[in-house]
Amino acid sequence: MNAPALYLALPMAAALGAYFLFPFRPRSAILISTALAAGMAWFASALPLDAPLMVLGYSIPVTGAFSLLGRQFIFVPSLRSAVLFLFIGGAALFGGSLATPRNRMLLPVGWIVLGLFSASLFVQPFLYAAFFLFLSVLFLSLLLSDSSHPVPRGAVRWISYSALGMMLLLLAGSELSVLDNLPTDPADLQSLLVQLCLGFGLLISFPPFHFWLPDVVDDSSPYSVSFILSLYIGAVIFLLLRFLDGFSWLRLSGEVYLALQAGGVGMCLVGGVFLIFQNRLGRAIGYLSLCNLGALLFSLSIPGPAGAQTAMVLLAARGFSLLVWGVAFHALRPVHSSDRLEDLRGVAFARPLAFSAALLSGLSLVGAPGLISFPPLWALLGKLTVVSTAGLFGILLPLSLLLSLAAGVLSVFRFARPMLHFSDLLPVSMEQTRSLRVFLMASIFLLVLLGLFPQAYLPWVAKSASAFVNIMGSP
Amino acid sequence: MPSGFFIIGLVCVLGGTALLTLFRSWNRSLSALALQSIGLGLVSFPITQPPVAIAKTIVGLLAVALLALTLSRENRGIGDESNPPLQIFFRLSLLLLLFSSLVALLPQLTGVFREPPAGVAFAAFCLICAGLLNLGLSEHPLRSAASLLTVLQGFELGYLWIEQSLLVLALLAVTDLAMVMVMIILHSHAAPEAPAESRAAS
Repeated sequence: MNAPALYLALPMAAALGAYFLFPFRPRSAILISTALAAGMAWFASALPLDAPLMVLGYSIPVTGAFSLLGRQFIFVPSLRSAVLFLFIGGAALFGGSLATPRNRMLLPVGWIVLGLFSASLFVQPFLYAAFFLFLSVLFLSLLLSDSSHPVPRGAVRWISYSALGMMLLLLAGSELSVLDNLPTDPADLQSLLVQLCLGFGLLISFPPFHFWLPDVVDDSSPYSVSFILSLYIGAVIFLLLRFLDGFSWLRLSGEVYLALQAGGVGMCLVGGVFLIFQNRLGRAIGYLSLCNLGALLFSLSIPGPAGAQTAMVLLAARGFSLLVWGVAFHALRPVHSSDRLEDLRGVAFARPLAFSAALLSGLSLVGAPGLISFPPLWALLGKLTVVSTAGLFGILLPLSLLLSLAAGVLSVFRFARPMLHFSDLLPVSMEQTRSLRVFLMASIFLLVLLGLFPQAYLPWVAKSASAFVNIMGSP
Repeated sequence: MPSGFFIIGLVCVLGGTALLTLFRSWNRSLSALALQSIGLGLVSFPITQPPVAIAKTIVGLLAVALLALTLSRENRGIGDESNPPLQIFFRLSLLLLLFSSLVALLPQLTGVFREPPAGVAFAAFCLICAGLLNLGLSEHPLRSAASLLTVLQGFELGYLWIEQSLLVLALLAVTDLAMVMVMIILHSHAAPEAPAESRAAS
């Protein structure tokens, strides 16, 4: 058995199966997909690499590499936890779709994207991961537009930005592979940094490349948006960490960490300012996710294992919060066609569970105490005050993070206030379906439980940073 | 490969990008894309093996065929935009500015693709810049597909000088075709179905 081939081929076969099963048995297709993704996650952690696998007394030889068109795809043991992390995320997103309106494309696209992300982890040299990320953007954009969301403007912009990002990363990567040591020519260093910053900026929608986000949040299904903002952004951050891990001079260069800090400040400030003046709930969460991404960049700007581990935990917490928001927003939206502040009056009484889940997921993204994102954000704030340089910029780092969090809290309460006003126009009712009610209750419980007992998830999520052998080995 | 083919390829690339930028009717745009794809193959002959250059042309032509098929199914006139002479003049001035800037900046720009032959670098940057210009001029999904295809083709031409592994070539081809397919699907969600009579007439 070939391990990387299994993780590339099985998702593609599952995509095909889910596409044909879904029209007849949607619930079964979702449940099978969730179970299969969870099974693949478990298998990634249990699979012996380059050793025989014993099944019912039979020995099946397992190989960790395969060659395709002259290039290798290798499943190294250090990638185990990353693959586990990826497929657990996939399983959670598949499972969450039980509580949202049926979308035939969600499961097949989800499976294909899981396969492409696996390919981006296994491919050697890892620079080619940029291709797989762009292909995943193409497939994910199919979720952003359908007959009920016919305006594809945001998706077209996202594809364009991602194509440019892919090209810049490939160019930077090809240059980096030539210069493994610190470039002596300052012009080389500058051009590389510009290419890397622009490339990743385009992929993670660093302002001003974030203009696809408001369009997408307005015109697309909230669950699809949460799929993209959690799983896809996670894959891009993973690639960024692999760049830092793969090139020693990049890891040791102070300018890179300075660029990450500047990026974090920019994202937190721009996200925070747009957030304060936002009157639409969907867009507000979009900008909140930008602020959260700023925090992620801050964590990456901390050299050594601490930064990578914090980033992994932040990614997991962000992914779960966005997943809950996606489902809750779906449940809140049918009450009103619009998500404007003035149109949300009284929805808390009409959809109490959806309101609670949306409120808690928003507060979790902000890092409110007692919720899932609080422990990593608190740890990050502590580390930032230690690594910050002296002077104005050093103060700006924790200050911008705090400002963005404050803007987030303010925005969440600005939206919660009209929702909590009692309105005679809306009947007091429970959420539509049993699966939705179960999902919302379970997610509220988990958001709080994992916030209060972070030791339940922190160690194994932080372990996924072991994929970055050089970063984890550095002091 | 005689240099005559290379010059013909360069003329095709320049003509294709100019036509794509200047005119808004789909017949001309598709012809321009096809011309550009043929030019791409001819220009890449000196830096790669003939089958690779031919494959690049075929991928480009396939993308054009996909766009043509989509437009013929709905009624090609739907996607045409009005194009008064003043707009043509504006685009022409933009193109002239672009070409002259490229000629002036080419010595500095070739470093991006690790110093390929000047003609190849010029063709690559022409495609990239004209594609980006067109991308900014229209947000119509099919026009964006044509513009993005132009940008990707320019990048492929330059990247061919850096990397010629089979996997990369295959991934670039898949990327081109997948991008066009996805834009077509996005367009089909946005565009209303063409009436049966107009479909029959076209």
